[in-house]
Amino acid sequence: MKLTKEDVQFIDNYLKKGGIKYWDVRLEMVDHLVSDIENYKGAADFETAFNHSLVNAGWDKNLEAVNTQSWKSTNKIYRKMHFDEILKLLKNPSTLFGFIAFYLLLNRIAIVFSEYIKLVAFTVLLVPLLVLLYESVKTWRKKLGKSVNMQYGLFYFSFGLIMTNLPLQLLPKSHLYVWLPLIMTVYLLMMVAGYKVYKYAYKKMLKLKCL
Amino acid sequence: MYICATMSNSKLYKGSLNTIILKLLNENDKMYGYEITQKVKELTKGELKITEGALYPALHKLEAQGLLDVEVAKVDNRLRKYYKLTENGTKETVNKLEELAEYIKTMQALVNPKLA
Repeated sequence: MKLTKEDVQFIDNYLKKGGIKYWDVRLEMVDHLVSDIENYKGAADFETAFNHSLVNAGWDKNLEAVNTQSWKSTNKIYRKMHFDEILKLLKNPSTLFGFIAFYLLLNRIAIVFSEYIKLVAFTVLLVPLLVLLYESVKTWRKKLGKSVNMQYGLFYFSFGLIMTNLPLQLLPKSHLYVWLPLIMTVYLLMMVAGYKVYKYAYKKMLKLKCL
Repeated sequence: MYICATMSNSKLYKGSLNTIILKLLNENDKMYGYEITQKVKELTKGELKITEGALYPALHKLEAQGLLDVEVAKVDNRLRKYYKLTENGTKETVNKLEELAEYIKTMQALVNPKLA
């Protein structure tokens, strides 16, 4: 049974209404269901074959659970990728040297020019955020839609800010020259790793959108 | 559940899902999700059925690890994601198959020493 464009659209809408919010998740589900319907042995109308394929795939009951499962497994993949990127940066002698040099520089500024350290730290905080803002606008302009990959790409890009926010607020007044440079270095490390994760998601989505 | 098997032995197959995927992609230039499930069903004469809830996360994980590459093609009225092995993926397939062969050999020695 060959499906028409309308049949394929019907399946996509069915999944969307059922709770599969992300188009990059639906893309494979639609192809899977359509392939199964087209391989349906015997005579049946579209509706019967479609219901049969939903049961075959185990997507006949709770599509919201399938959606939840998809973002959970995607989160797991991106979380590991972010962690691996941090390790890669730390294992690479040149980037490791760069981060140590960055820490020492901030530490020196905090000791010698203590009145400027907060301004410098704020600048360090702001630069990756401006990149994040620029990339978010770029993604939005590409009209990549509601994608689970982009969602986690952007989330792990901003993860450094989320994770260092609390330590920054609870920063002890004593030994500021140690703690502030240390937190800012960790922040930068997480943001660089997050940027790489975001780039992976972005390229992946462009490929899927055939852009 | 990762894999459905007819003899309640799905747990035995659980750890082999990635190896199964890599092996199939090693033998075929590129494959899509549904094709993989059907091929496994065909090769095992219906004994083993990879569930969709396990297959796609596994494919995405292997892709993120850089073992698989993705190609998108328009097929009839829809988009299809094809998976194929990267250079690292081909190397990893060899390693995984060697690991599996070693495991089978060890199990054989334990379960049926005469055949080992």
